[in-house]
Amino acid sequence: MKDTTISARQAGMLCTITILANKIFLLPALIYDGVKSDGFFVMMFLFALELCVLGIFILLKKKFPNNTLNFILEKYLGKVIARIIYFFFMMFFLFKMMLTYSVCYVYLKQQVYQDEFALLALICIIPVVNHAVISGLRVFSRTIELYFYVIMTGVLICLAVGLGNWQGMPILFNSTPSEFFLTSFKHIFSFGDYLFLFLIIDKIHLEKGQVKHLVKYVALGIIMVLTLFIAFYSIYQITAFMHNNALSDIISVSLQFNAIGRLDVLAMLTIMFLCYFEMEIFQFSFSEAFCNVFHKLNRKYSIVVFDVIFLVVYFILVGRYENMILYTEGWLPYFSIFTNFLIPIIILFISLPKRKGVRYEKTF
Amino acid sequence: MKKLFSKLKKNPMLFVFIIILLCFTPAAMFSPGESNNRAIVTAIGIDKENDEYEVSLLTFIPTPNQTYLETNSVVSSKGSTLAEAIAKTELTLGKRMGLSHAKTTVISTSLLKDDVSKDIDYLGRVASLSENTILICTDATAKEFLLAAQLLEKDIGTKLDKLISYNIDNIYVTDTSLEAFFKGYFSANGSSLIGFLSIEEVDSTGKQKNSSGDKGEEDSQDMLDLGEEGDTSYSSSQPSSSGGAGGAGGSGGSSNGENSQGQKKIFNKGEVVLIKDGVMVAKLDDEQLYGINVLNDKAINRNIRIENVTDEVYNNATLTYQVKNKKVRTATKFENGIPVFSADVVLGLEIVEAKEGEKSLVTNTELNDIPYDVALRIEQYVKKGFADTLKLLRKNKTDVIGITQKFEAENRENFRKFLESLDDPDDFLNFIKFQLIVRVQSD
Repeated sequence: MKDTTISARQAGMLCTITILANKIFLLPALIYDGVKSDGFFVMMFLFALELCVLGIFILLKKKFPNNTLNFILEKYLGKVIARIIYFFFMMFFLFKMMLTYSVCYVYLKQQVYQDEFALLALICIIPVVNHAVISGLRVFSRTIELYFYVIMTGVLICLAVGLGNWQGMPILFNSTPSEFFLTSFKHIFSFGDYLFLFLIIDKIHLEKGQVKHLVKYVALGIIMVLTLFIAFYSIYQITAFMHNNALSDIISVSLQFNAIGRLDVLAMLTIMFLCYFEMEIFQFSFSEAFCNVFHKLNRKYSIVVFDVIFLVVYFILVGRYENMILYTEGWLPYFSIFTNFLIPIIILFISLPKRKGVRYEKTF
Repeated sequence: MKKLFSKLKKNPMLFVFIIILLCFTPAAMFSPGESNNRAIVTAIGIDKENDEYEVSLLTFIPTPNQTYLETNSVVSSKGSTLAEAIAKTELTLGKRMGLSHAKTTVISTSLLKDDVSKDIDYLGRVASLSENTILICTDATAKEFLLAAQLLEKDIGTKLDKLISYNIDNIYVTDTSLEAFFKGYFSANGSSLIGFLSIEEVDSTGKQKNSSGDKGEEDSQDMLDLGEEGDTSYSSSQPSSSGGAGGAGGSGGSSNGENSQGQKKIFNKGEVVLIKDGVMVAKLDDEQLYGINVLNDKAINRNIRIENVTDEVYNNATLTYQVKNKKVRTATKFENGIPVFSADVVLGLEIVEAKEGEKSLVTNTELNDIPYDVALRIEQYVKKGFADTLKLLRKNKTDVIGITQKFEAENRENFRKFLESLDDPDDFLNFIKFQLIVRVQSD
């Protein structure tokens, strides 16, 4: 058991990585397009909802410290519903991986190698990610732990440079409530950061008093994303919608003409590490869900199936990065309502302690 | 060896790694150097005539030599779109364009007759082009400008980017990059400011032959003479406008500027161009630009000359003060529904020159008192400069001094109601009351 479990600290680090996933590229620009600088509040609102999901996970873990999610779901909801829920998780993480791959591929194509094509990027990514998933949660969590401070230093440098280019407080409270909620809804697929925790609930070694480690790393991730948003909106203001790679753009912008500038290599390295680790987490989550939908198939099958489905769905159905972005704002938010909120609410009812029956005794 | 294979068998990822290495390493090793395939563009020039674009690229050619001089070349091509023209330039050069080092984009005034954003849309989309590339406008063609810029280094040891860098730090003191242009363009008022450098033909003695600018003889100055007006001229030999460059029908061509028939100089008069909705509405001279920068606390490198000063120390003297520091505080409010913009400007001045008639005054140079009368005149000078510029901005319905942002940040509700109450919200500057307090003190 100990060989497959991870500590609360490692779980927290995985959370920080997933919180940064998809939010450091295009999301600030897309949200700006909807609600201008109030995108900052949209993020706060969605993070608040996400924290509720984290709370649900902690409740569930307290109630079932050693059980798998499959066991819990089968016990309370039956086998069929459990498998349906796992199937939804499977699809959710497949599309999450596609989104991360898309934005990462386009970023690297723009910044590093313009002759790059999607399949070439996949050749560089898939073997590494597959290997991490085969090695298991403990192994890649340990790898993430080793690189974690390197990544965080990279992100912090980018944020520090970004804040150094501060152009004044962006004008806030510019959007209407309908714009605010519509934009929040349109981008919920970019969230669902803690769902993978439910899938590995039995593998997290969370002792009493260790919840704070988890919360600490989650807070770190949230603060970083919010800082990125405010720095990005401050620098670009009205043209924020034109810039697709927020973390890279806040560091590569040099307001000083003729400056050496272009420190974007720092952002590049950080983003490359982040993307690899994000994709490892997403594929591992897919793999976990797959193994619970198809009990007779093991992890190796899940990886092969993932690769085949990914190739087919991405290259035949999605085809282009723009389509993927269109889906994330189109039908995937409806799908995410189920995975991000309805499933956690169902789990909340399971994790709530049973009400003890109140017995009245005659006093006379 | 057996051990190695057995290790490899146990770890199949090593096979994958070796396969990737085998596939890509030879391809990378045998591919030519990047500079063989890519031309390093340091400046882009865009002209438009009869709905046809001419793109000129100042390209740096990495050539081993024994001097520090760079080898540059201007290559141009025509096409119905910018992308097409650049593609044709690539054909001419036999290289792909590398725009990462393009720090300057030059456009001719002819482009600014219509909404220029449509013309430079390509530049906004090219990811490899840095967004802090500076937009410069010129009264000649952009191609002529680049040809003149090409020889700057050879003639006087400076480069176009150094010249622009000086302007940005000391004259414009505001962001005039492509990004800033788009920020202004997409703002509610649609106004932005870009730098202006003129091209004028001079004879061998450095005197102006025929001006394409709006000033006459007074612009003919010695090289590198930074006068009161801030004019700096740089000489460069001017090749014939058709000499080998820009073949008709977009066939492209190149010129290294050797076949010059006359001399053309880049004249730096510290001018800027005011743009509204992508169209040039006015050219601002150095004085008007100063008026814009009155509220800019970074704009300090400025000399103020006061003539005919007579008091206990000076007798009909001309005093020149340099602004050493500046503090600006601005505030907005509404008085009886009327928006009021108030600014308090504190100037820290230092006397840098005192001339009395023909001979310089011999006084203790450490004394830096500003006589009351002089302080008053400096205040009037600053106020007049601001008022004149405001008149110009009001006339052209442009806001490049951040009035809108200030009201939006401080009195948004009232300001929006105020804008709604106007027949033409673009004309809002005419209905704002300005209060400017200028205080002068010695640095």
